[in-house]
Amino acid sequence: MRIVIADDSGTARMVIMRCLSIIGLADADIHEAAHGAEALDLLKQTDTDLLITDLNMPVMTGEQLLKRVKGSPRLTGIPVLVITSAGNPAKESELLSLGAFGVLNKPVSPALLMQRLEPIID
Amino acid sequence: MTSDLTRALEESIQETFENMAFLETVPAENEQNLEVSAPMTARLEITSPADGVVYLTLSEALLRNIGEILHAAPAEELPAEALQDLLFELVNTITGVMLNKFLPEDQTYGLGLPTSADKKGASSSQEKQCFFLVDDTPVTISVAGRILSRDAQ
Repeated sequence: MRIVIADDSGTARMVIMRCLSIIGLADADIHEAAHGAEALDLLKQTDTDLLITDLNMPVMTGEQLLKRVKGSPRLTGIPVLVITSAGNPAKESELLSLGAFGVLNKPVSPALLMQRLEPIID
Repeated sequence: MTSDLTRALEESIQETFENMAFLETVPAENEQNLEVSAPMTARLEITSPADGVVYLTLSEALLRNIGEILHAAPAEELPAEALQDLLFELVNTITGVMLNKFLPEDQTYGLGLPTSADKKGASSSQEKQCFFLVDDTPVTISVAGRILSRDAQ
């Protein structure tokens, strides 16, 4: 399983990777990006099974990245999970309407991540 | 949602430190005696629905402890950049959790990017400052700006 994680914080990426490891995805092929543009480059390189992205990032925000992915015929099928500190019910419905399959608020926990990713992992 | 900013701050600090680093967090009862040694401060702007600014100050030693837990690496080997990144992620996460609790559910909000800051005590009466003990080590957080006002909601 190939996963791209986009977050400008190395700490946040580390926390997400630790959660992925705990829920049984320790062997996943994980690629890290510090902003949306870097993530987009990684997505274009090889087929990806899951994109996990923050919203508030320099260069290209998570929302811009989500729009680019869902607007691309080649990338639109990639499930996008948003993990953010700027999420609430209003923002969540906005992101779901843009094509995200789920939104989680930071701090993320393995249990919440498992719950969201279950349909994809299965 | 809670209309009590102090409670929102307490809950956000507790949730963040306990979920990210499994560290017990309690409000400090005697703030006069709290001195953060080798303090590191992060500043984060709230850009909407009203302007505001959040300062988070904690000791380098506590940051190293948290870093050790997260990175599974010896605390003394963590580079300064990793500590700063950790501090920025903490203020980012705490602020998001706090605003989710403090603002109405249908109210979106915007945050800037965290920066390093030099902060000593409350700068004005229009500032809410709270004190905590995280793993028995002092942590202070303050919020200032129009976000504190009921009108901002």
